[in-house]
Amino acid sequence: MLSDLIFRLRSLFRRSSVENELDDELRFHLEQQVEKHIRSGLTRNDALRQTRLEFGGLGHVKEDCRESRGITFLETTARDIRYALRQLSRTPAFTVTVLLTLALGIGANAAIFTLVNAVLLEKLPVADPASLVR
Amino acid sequence: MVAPHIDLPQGTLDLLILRTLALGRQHGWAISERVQQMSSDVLRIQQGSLYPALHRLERRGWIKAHWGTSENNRRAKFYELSKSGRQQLDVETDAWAKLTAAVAQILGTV
Repeated sequence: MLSDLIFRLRSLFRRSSVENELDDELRFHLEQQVEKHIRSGLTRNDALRQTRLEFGGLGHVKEDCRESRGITFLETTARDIRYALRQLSRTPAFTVTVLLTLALGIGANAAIFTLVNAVLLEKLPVADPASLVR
Repeated sequence: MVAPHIDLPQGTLDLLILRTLALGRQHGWAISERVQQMSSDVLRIQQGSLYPALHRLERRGWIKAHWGTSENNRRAKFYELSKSGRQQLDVETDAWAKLTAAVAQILGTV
């Protein structure tokens, strides 16, 4: 449990070094495989081609690795938020309108609820409200 | 050149990785080579799925990774079985034996 958490936190906050390690690890694998094919008699170019065929798309494999490190959800969420902020800053008039609408909407609701709450919902601040006379 | 390779059934890759690492620490490439050898060349690990599996097992804490130097003096990431990995290997070996026995039994009766 704890190791899982540490593992994920490292993936998240030491992202660049984890990525570099992944690159190094896969590169080592590919080099070993190329050498194996060369030993079995292929030319260097054929060996490279064969290795690439066997391995599949490098980007795809990396993405799968990231996914199995269990941080994809957090990462895509962060990416989505950054994207949203970028889009909003690109259209300031729209952003201001939306912000004002939300601010006024929430503000008006809060104000009216405070009033309704005090007048209609809360009991009067006396010991026995029913016995009061108008 | 046409060898009768069999693709790994779903879920057996983890078991094979754990079993291979029970023999001692290995880097990813050696694991795929070892599996191929030990299965007399019948099984071939999809190399693209090996590394996601290794990282998943590492996250679960069943294997531990550290960087070391390979036989040909290069920096490589080595994996070794952890204590809980050893237990997991026993559990999965057991489950596998039950599964194959049950399937064989069904196939035998028909």
